[in-house]
Amino acid sequence: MSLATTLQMLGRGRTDPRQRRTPMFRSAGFRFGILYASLFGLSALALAAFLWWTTVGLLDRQTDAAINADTQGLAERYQEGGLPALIETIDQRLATNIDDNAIYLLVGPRFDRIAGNLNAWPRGVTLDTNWFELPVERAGLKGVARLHEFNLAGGFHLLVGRDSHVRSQLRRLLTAALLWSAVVALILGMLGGALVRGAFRATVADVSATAAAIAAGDLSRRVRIAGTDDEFDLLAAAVNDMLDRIMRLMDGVKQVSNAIAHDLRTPIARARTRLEDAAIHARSPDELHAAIERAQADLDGVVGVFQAILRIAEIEAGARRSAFVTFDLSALITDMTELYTAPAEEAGLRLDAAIQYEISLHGDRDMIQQAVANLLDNAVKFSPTGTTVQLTLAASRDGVRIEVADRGPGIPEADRTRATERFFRGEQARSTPGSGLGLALVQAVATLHGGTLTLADNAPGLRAILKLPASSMNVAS
Amino acid sequence: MRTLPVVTLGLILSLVQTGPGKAQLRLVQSKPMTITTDTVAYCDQLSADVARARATQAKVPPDVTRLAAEGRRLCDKGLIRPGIERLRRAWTLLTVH
Repeated sequence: MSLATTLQMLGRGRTDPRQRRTPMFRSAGFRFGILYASLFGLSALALAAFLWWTTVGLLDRQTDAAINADTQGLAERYQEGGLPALIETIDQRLATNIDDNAIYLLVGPRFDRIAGNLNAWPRGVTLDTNWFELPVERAGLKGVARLHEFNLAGGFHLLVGRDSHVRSQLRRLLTAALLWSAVVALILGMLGGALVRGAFRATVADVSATAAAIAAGDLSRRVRIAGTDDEFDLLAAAVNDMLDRIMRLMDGVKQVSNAIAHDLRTPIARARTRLEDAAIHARSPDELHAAIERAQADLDGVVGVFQAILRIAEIEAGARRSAFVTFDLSALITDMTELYTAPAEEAGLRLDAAIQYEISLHGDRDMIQQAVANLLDNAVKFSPTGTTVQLTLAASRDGVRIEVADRGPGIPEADRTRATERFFRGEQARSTPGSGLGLALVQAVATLHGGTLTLADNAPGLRAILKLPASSMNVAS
Repeated sequence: MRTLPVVTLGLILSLVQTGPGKAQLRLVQSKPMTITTDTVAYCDQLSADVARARATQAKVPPDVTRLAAEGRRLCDKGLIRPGIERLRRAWTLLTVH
């Protein structure tokens, strides 16, 4: 997926006409609004449910208790005074029912009405119904009553009940409140959704514009940061960091491509010229072989450059981590000192080593050796005759320090940050053989081990300091 | 997230449609039954009962007379339930005292 495509997806709505006509319900802002309304509705529902089950449940329990007490009293009256006393009590209770909510019905064994304020036995009520609800009408007003069926001795049946109009009113009140809450939540949700949608679209407009500009070829555009430190600012900063990183990578690729073309053209052209010259002018097989060997040496140099590039790429990809082992770094540096003493002396230099012993390191032994060899190669190559190259290995709480210091021309401060880039060659190094990949490889090795490579002035000369983290080392006490 | 509004609406409707009473008790028959103690006939009956009770007592509280008269008047005007409520208060005062 290309960068432009990625950014278009981030800032969709600006460049794709279909996205500009995104339906409201597909908008993220609208969905947030609906989510808000739903949460609001659920909260209201939970509150209403709590109120409903507590208040209505309490009312029902109170009503049932009153009915039970009433029934018990009537049953006792029947036992004490028989049917006439029961009828009189029912009439008396109806006459004193100021709340006008009591319901009684006394019927005989054939369900013929004897007393009470219901005309007949309700349909659907059998002798095992016990508790039930009955729709009733009082002076034209309809409601629901809770009733209890009670069987008396002698085959008589008694219904005792109470209107539950308070319960009905409460239910209507809560229902209305719930429905209105739902309507308000819906309206607020839609309004909120529309507002959030607008805010989203306005905020991502700059991302969209940047994506469109980059898609059109303007890679220098960046997303504006409002300075509010909100999530959109964080997004804009992240997008800008990503664009900067991509730009640096693209510059690096371009630079490496140019460097490869420039640095490899010369040895390849030279080899070709030699072979062509030998093919035309060689007068003997020995001259031909000599020309071929020189061309082969040129091409070996080219192969070496490619191997170095591949090795750096391999290191940067982290593929070498599987080769990490714990090894004796002090012994390795000691061996390197012995190895480089002879070439240094041949160049008229002295190699001094200050090595702290019994330092172990967890890492890639070959890569560390290659990195130190590159630093020593540079030091020997650039140091003037009669000077000293200083190699130091020391450990501290911060980690391991491998330092190579020489008295050569050094690297100007302005070039030091770029000196570890691939194919970079300073002015002083133009006249010396090399590919410009040595320090790049050291930098890659340092990064692979979680360390750093620092280039400093040695007044005169260069101090190359390779620092590796304490977590990877082990120093014997 | 898309199902949340549907679930919310469903829960609200289920709460509206059901309650603790309905969950516990069965509603028998759909046609409402008339309560006979909220009718003109019961008002007349109660008014007559109050009058008879007043006649049997030597000293009738003034509130009883007033409530009985109000009840009778309200029933005559068609305000059955308020009228019966006054008559019941009068009856209660008579029977309690």
